[in-house]
Parts: sequence; structure tokens; C-alpha cells
Amino acid sequence: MKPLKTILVAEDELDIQMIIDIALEDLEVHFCQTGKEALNKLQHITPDLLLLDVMMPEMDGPQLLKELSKIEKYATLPAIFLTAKGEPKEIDHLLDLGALAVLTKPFSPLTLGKQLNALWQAHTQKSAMVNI
Amino acid sequence: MSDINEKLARLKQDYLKRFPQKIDEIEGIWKELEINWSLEKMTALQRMAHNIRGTSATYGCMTISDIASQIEILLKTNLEASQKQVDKEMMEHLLKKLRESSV
Repeated sequence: MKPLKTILVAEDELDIQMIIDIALEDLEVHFCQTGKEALNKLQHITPDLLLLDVMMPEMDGPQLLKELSKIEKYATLPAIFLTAKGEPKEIDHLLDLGALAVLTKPFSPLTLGKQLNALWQAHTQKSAMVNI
Repeated sequence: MSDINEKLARLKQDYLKRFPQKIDEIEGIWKELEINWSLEKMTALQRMAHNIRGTSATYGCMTISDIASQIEILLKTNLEASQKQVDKEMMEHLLKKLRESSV
């Protein structure tokens, strides 16, 4: 099974970026602050997973996911939202957009890596079964 | 694990040290809004409150997070109703509480 190695994080709050950097120190993590920056960065890197904030300037997380779904090579790129907007209606909306999962802030930096790994493993297993 | 905890504790300490500057920034935008209302500034202010809510809670600073959440709701309610007049008294009360909570 392919291990989770590279993540692209789109998050405008630098403190959250620094917390994630510490929490995911075993992974290769790339950061950007807006959806637009993420789109540009994807031209240079191929992450296994996207970790997206919802509220960001210029292009927010949901807008980014919609843009990516229109581009064939990114349409199946798994994305997980990390948001302080934890209302059920909001979570349903993000899942309807095609997000793999929605994690809410506050989050535990001590377990974030394990959570992402578990979601990634479940996703890759499901994808492998679909492709049989 | 203790290494991670130490790094996080240092980040939190640094965040709280920088926190008065964040409030200064919020108050600056709030004053600008009182003089000249703009949707862009209102949205930026809501996003700042939203970020403080999420970040401070992740650092375990729940009082700061709760107050930031009240500011976010106040601004969001106005934005959704397309109202330009935010409850000035309430906003200033919450900003005062936010400053006090970080000391």
C-alpha cells in the first residue's frame, strides 16, 4: 500500500501552518495561503493529499475544490477540509463538494498525523477496490 | 512526543506575545470601517475573528476563542443581512474583553 508522503496545505493563518508543520513533521508538507496559490503550486508538485482551510482570501477552500474538479488530472486528488466552521450544514456542504473528510478546529496536533493517515489509507483501499 | 509538546508550548507563548498586535490590527480596521464602510474590510475583519477563534482554540485558549467567536457571529450576521451598521457598543465591548482575556 502506498504510504502517505506529501501534503499540500492551503491555510491563511500562519500559526495554524506552524502547528501543522510540527504535527506532520514526518511528512513532506508544502504550504500556501490562498486557493490561487494552491493552484499555482500544483503545477510544480504532486501531493498525495490536500488539506484545505475553508475561509481564505482571494480563493477559499470550497472554490479551490470546485476549480480542481474541472481539471482532469486534479479531479480525483483527495482533499480534506480543516475548518472552524463545524456546523453540520457546513460539513454536509463540504462533503457534497467532494471532500474526503472534514476535520474541525480546534484539532489535536498530537493526533492530526494519525487522522490523516487513517483517512488516506481508507481512501487508497477504496480506490484500489474500485479499480479491480 | 514531549518534543512536540515543547515546540507547541513555545508557539503558544509566542502567539500570546503577538496577540495584542492582532487586536491593534482588528481595532484599526474597525475604526476605518466606522469612517468608511466597505464590504472588503468587513469580510477581512470577519476572517480575522474567525482565524483567532480557530487558532486560539487549537492552542487551548478557550476564553479568547469564545470572544472571537462572538465577534465573528456579530459581523457575519451583519454581512448576511447586508447591514452596514454593526452594533458599535457590542463590538467595542467584545474588543475590550478580547484584549483583557489575552493578558
